[in-house]
Amino acid sequence: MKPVHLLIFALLYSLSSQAITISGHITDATTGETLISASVFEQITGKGTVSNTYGFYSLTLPVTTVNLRFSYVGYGQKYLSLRLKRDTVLNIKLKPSNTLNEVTVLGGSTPGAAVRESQMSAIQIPASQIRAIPTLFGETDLIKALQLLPGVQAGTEGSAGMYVRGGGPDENLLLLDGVPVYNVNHLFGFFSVFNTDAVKNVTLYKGNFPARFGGRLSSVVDISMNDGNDQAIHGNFSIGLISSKFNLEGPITKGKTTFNVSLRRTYADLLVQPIIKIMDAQDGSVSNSSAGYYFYDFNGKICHRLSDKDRLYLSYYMGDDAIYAGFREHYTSNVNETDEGRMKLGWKWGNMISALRWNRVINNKLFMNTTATFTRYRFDMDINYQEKKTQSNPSTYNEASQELGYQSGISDYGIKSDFDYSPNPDHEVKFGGGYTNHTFRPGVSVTKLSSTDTSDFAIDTVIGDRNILSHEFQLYAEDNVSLGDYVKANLGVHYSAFNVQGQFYQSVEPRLGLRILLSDKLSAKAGFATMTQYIHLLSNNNISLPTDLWVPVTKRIPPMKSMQVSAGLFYNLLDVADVSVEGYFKTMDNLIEYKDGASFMSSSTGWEDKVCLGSGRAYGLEFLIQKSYGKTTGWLGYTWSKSERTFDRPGQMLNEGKTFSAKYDRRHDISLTLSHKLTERIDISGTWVYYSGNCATLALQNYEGPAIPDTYANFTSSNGYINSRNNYRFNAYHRMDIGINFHKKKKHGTRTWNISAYNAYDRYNPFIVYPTTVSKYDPITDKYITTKKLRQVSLFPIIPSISYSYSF
Amino acid sequence: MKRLPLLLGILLLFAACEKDIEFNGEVTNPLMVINSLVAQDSLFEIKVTKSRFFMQYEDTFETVKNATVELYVNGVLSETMTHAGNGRYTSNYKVTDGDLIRIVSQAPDLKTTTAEMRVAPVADVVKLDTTMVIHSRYPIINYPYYGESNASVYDTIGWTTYCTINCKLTFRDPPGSENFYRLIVSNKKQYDYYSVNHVRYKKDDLVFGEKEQNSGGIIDEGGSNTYGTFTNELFEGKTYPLTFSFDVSYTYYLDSIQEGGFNRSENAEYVIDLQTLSKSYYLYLITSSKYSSDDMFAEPVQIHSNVIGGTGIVGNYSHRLIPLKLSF
Repeated sequence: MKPVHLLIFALLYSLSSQAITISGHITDATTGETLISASVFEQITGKGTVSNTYGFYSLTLPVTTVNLRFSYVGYGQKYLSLRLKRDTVLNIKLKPSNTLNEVTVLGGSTPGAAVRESQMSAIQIPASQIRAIPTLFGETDLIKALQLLPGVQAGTEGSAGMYVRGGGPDENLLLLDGVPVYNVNHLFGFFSVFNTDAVKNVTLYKGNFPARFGGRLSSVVDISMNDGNDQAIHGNFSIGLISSKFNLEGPITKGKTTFNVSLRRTYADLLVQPIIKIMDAQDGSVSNSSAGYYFYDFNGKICHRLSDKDRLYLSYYMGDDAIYAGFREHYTSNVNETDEGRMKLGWKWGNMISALRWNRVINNKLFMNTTATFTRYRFDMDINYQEKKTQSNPSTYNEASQELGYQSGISDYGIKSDFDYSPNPDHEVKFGGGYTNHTFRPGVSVTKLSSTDTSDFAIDTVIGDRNILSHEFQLYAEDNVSLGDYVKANLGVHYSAFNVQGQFYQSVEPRLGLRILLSDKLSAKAGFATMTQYIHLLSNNNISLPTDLWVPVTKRIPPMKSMQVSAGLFYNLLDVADVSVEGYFKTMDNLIEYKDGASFMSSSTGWEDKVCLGSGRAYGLEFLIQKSYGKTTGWLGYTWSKSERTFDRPGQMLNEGKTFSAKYDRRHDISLTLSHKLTERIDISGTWVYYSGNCATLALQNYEGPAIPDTYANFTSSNGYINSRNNYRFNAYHRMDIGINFHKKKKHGTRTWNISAYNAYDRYNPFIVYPTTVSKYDPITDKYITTKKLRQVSLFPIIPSISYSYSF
Repeated sequence: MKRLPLLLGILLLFAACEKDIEFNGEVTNPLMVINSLVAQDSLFEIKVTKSRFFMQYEDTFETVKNATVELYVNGVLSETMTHAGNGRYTSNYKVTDGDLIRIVSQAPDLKTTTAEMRVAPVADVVKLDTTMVIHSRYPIINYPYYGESNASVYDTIGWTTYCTINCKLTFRDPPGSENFYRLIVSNKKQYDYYSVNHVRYKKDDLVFGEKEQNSGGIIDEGGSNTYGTFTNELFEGKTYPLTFSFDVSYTYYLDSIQEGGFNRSENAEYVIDLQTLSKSYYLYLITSSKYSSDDMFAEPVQIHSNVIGGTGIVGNYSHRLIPLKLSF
């Protein structure tokens, strides 16, 4: 063949094989909700893609005749055979399947997806599954559902803290509709701030981080809120042991504008008010008493379709915890003198988040999402006491007041743009960038004392640091590239920079994911990611307190960094269950820990002097088998892991520079989660968890301390000798939670009774262990005998709960 | 405010359960404990005791009477210390500025221990400046008696003055080394046998690392500096004016009345003691004061020890006393 013929042939071939692009949105046919990670698969070429966070997909194919399959777990599949001449927009509506609507999906959105995707160390959970898991006080909780996954550990009993692959609780980036949430806890960590009624989907990344994420070392939790039903008004309400919830969604303009609002509030404080009133009545000198604690969450979202190519979303979240107390007291000490006092106490802490998002389909290969965000966490505390003293003979009057206040917090303004570009079937490119302006508000104390008596001491002071401003930038690019039929790689790079108080830090973080398809059912994957974190959480307690402070890096305290490699095997078992085994090794640098005895409570001043810088490493093996279909669904996860810390830098040593176990280092962690649909009207669910005991530090030897000169003559002390931090392990923890739902169709909707039991077999799990001394009288020797005991405090015995909900 | 704890108590929603459990960890062996905190120019001595497992209860700690304790000064064996009873080992060596002291102690069934420290120099005080701020002055009115008219008659028997003494203690910090200090203010009058009459002073200076001006607020603003210790980190090798203040209530009785044997002038005599500490002693004071934390959620503190193979503390200190007599 002559060269010219070859050229003509090649041209004809290229024309005949000209690629066409199919794009569009995939939504729920009944509600109009966009479906995240729904699968689009072309059966002739074997090429496919998944919809993005906004339900948009774009698939470029080298053929004009296509057999497309659209699928999403819990929904009926849709097949389309088309002969296409040009790029085409296909908006697909999938119908929820009656037989599969209770299924669980983990690791991927469709059967075997986990095997085919290049992404590893990521798990996706729809909100419906989270709602099915029985929990403490029957309060469904997103974070506690994540704690049941391998590689994720809870902190103390009942806590909504997350320790991912040996990292700390401040190393998780929790994004609500793309906006970071700083304080994820209610009630000192026993509940998380995410109301599952408002949540559509959750994806947890614990390694192999895509380049679009950055800013935290250990995990990313990407939470999407419901957009709202675009067909009709629907809603539900529920009354539980701790809180009541209400959710309403529907179209404002049918098919064009939707809304979704959810409200949750606890009401224990309302229930105790009558008791307080009775106490008031019994104590004649006190009146108008009130006291209580509550938390609430409000989620709201409005979505508006400007055109076929443009959508606007406005998301809003506000949630607070509040403690309040107050009373009036009045005494008449003698006929001449009357005292009247009034006390008011108010603590309030919580988040406010808002996001304005603009989606635009620039063309069928390029999708843009631009978001302006605001997030704020603040803690305000105020105690006020006023006293009036009246004396009639001689006639005097004095009025005095004391006011003590404290405020702290952080607020961010940000803007970011993300682009999805699918040039051809072998490349899925994402790129973008963003800017965030942080305002850190360190603890500020206000003290005011005033009196009408001029001889009294008067104070009006404000003590604390000024606001600290900082700027954070990020850019990223990643390409999910197919290298032949068997190899797929995700190559990415994330660049970030941080500027605070004249200090500039920057970081280039390479990301890599690799998948090798060993067979239709089996793949091997590997991942590599580095991460940089520019903010620290100051807290020297093992429980979450509202006074915990976020502070930026400084000249002396550089950013934390991590590097993680992971590898695993993924297997699809008979299209019924997905099995995976993953191993990881992670190093962390510039971690901070408090120096021995340093106290940080709510004070950011001078915190750099009170911390040590060190390093950590964590490694482990995770096993997960999940059954996603049928009447019985669930998963079994097992993690073997180790997490260590070393603080051996000169002047910053902890544990004499020797390596010690991290606080939540656990060797074994098992979780079993099962749901079973008995009938159309009854379904049951249960979880069982087992893990090695938490670490604690005990002084295993007591010794005589020296008499300190110039204090007390000849007095010695009994000191405790701690040979190593975290040198003692609590007994193993295990617990079973069970729940049963009774559904009944009513005239206008469905009512559900939920009965559940937390810690169903009443296991007394360790929360705190401490040594104590007990003296008992011995009648034989007629003496008191003193012995030492180790005492374990358990927090929650069996806790049954019941809730009623009605959806319409 | 008396109802506040009760009202807050109602907020406790959870009832914790407690039970005694068996210790399932490692049962560690007793350690040799060496303690010695000796002032400069005193004869060096130590006390040797034995630690016990934390689940054992006894009123006292067992002393070690059969130890062999070798004392090295500047690398040279000075002597083998003598057991003077009750675990106390004495020597003829007088603790001298700049010396490097090392002890090696052996006893049957216990690991051999070693400890080392360098003797801290006496603080080089330049001067002490003081100012007095008088807040108020009240007459002491007492001894009512009934006169012929049967009416109460009051008499002034003295005066009490409330004031603040602001101090600036200037001293030179030796260059080229980490130095550790402790400031003690005491009143000359000894009230009783057990307590040294320490005066509580405000640690205004930054070096104390204490935000005492916030004490009494809602939030603990960073803990207190129990022993008044500080380092030369902020003024290494420089002349430093250390500021602190203390409140005085000075009682002056009229000549005709003597109150309970008080000599009124003693009320106005104070002693400022700027001690220099060995590093080990300083770290011991810092960590031991934080050991007994009331916060059960906070991480326990490892008390500093420079005794290798065992535990305890071998440290020293030197006094630099500055008398301060106040005139009213």
